[in-house]
Amino acid sequence: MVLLSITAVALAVSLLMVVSSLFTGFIRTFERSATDLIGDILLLSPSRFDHADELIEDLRGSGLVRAAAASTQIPGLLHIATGNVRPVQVWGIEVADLMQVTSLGKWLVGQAGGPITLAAQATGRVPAIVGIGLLLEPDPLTDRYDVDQARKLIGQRLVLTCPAISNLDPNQQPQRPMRRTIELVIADILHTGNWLFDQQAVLLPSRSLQLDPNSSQVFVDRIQIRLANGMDPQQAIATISLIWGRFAQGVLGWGPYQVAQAEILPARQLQARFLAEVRKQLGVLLVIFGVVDTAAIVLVFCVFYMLARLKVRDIAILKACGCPSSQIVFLFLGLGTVVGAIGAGFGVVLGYLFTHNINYIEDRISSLIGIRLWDSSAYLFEHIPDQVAWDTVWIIVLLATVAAAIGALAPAMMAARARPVEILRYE
Amino acid sequence: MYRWVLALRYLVSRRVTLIAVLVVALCVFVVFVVMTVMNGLVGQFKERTHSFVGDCVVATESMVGFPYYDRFMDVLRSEPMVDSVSPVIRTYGLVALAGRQDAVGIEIMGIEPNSHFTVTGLGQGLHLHRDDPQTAFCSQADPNIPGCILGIDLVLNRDSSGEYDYRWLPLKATYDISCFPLTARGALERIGTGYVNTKRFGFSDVSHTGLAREDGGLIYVHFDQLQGLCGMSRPPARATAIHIRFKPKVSLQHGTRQVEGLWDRFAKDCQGMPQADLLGLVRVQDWKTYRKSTIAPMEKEQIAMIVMFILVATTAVSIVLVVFYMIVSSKTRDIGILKAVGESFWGVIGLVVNFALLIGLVSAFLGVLAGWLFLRYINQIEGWLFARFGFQLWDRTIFSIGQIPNQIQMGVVAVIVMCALLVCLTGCLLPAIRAARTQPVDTLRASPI
Repeated sequence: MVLLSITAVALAVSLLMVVSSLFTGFIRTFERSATDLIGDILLLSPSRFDHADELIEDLRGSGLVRAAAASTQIPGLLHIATGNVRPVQVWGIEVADLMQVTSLGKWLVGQAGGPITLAAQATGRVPAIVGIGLLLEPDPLTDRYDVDQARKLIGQRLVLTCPAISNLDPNQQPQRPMRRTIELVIADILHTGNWLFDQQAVLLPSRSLQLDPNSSQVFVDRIQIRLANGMDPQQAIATISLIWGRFAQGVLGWGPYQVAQAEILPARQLQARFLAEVRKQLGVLLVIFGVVDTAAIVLVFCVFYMLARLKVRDIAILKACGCPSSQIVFLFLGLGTVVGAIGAGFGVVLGYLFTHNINYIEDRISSLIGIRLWDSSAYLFEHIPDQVAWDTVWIIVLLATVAAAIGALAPAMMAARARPVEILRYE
Repeated sequence: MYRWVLALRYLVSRRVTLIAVLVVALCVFVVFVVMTVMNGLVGQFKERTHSFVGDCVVATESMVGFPYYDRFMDVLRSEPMVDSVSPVIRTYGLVALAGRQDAVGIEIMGIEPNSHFTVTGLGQGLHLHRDDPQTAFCSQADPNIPGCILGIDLVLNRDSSGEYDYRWLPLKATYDISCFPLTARGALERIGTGYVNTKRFGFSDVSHTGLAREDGGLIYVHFDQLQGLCGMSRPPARATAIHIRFKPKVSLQHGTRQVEGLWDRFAKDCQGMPQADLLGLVRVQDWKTYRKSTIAPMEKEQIAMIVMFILVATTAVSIVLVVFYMIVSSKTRDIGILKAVGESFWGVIGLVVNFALLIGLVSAFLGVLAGWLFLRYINQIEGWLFARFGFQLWDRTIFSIGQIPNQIQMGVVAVIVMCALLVCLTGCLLPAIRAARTQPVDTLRASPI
């Protein structure tokens, strides 16, 4: 029966641990994905601007910033093959700069040679880094892309249509949107594991998106910043705002209002509202399962109640030998705590094994039933987060142990009240 | 009869039984509330999707579209099972406030109001033209330019109660919508000219479908206008989809199969005609399959939740087991007497099973009653929590969810009650066997208290 209590506690702990780890893992993956894709801080300008290299130089000179990259983002249509046209997000970037700010380097499928070398090889066409999801469909059963097949697509030609980038001067006469049709060659393929990015991203040199690609001016609308080691993004923002203000007023000649329109925010905060909702859902789920798991306390109570009744003669003998009631209470409470601790221990092991191997388990179930349980198109990431949220686990373990002790409390009191004279007499 | 009487007596007199009743009732309550809300959400989403899509869709994923859609629509119209059909173009383009260059990429849907509002429930989601959806594309700003309907989340924000303030509708706004005309081979039609196909539209209305993707990222224009913008109007004209509504008594599976057969024959007949190769990319799907990618994850989450509750139910089984073990242990004399007066092995099992059924029924009743009361006032409770503590189950400014669904489904109730009974029966099994094996001679002899 004590084994039953241990099992119930273990089950409750492992369930809460898995739920908490999955949600926390999702939130952390989301935040990590933002910093991997963007950097630590994003500066969004209200209008496109030139001379971004000067701003980057100033930022680096501050000592706060390890690297910064200027970029711009516009919508476009990518003509991949006959009848295959896909909407895309075009990023105008400088590859070398972006590699220092983001994890771009580790996501490139081709790697060998790198996109910069390929740019020279692709005469007449603009080298592009294209999201793997634009070129290939993931396997319907495994939800994984065939990376080897993707490598073979390097060098393939594509056509991109997007608005041409020019300076957005408020005094400029209204124009009809200008289109640029750019002939591309796939220089490399991007596989970030972030479904949305892999499905939409086309990375090109910023210059190729300009209205006049031969002009010396390159207009961008954002600066992605990687802070120096140990820098706190919130503290760095104040200094970056000052540098931006000086640059925008001094170099660009903008007024204070326009300067203040810029948004400078940590990458992790870009989806802060959404992630706050995910955290809330985690809280609600933990409360629901926590309420149901109170059944485990009741079970401990029942088992200990039964134990107290079954062992009433032993208790009576102990008391007859002079054992005080308080020690009987401590005996039962100690046993309850041990049951809780052992159950929680087993629960942690169970939860760890399940969480750590969740992708393998999901693979097995999917191949068994033929349906993919985790779909990257729905949950954004290719892999289920499999890191245990240890900071929550300790709380769950502590609560489980205390709960088991509470479950044993009433039977302990009952046992302590046993009167040897009534129990040990013979009928 | 005496078995039920005894079971009832045990239920009333044994306080420890209350523990089993409370635990099972608690589990019933939680499962009932969670599954009702979850089923409501999934059902609501499916209902909205069905309303948005219609019953069946003949569509291609390629933005190039497919030709001869009008001929196939004639074929469909002649079928007695088909109520109405509507051609649709879905494409991507750039939208900017008139005269501005800072465009955003957005999905554009071209529809014929006359037919599309019959096939789908889109017309019901309009704000200004709900009573007269046929005039939905009349521009509010300028009657001389065509109108466009914007997904509601593109122009209005939801407040904390999920309501929109329609006073802020951009009635005078005009938009430049640019699309990239494609040839039937998928190539760009106007390479080298420097301009996209751009047309100015006036704001005519907002569409509130209740679907986040559609309300936050879709603009509707008249089918003919979009066909021209995308270069699909040149003969043979192209569309990307045909939405179909079946007559009321036609089942979805049957109707879709019929349309599939019709399409196969039609595609064969068109072989050899210009651009007929595009017909090979077309699929016929019912609305559920067409929107599988959005519906399936919700259904999977529902299943995952059920699996977790099954795990939790094992604890309830254990509690019932322990409680019955305790009761059987303390009632060995009663059982011994019963067996001494001739009660059989199965008779004693029956007695314990009756007791378990009684506990299951009482627990299920209490759990369902509490769940029903909670669900009935769930929105008021949430409102109070929001007013007092600022807590909302879902932030209505982010999620396209109105009230928390609290419609009780009798199917769900029945399944949960059955599960509660099953939990009690499973839990009582071992103690019942133990009780049935009791030997009167062992239990009825004098023993220490």
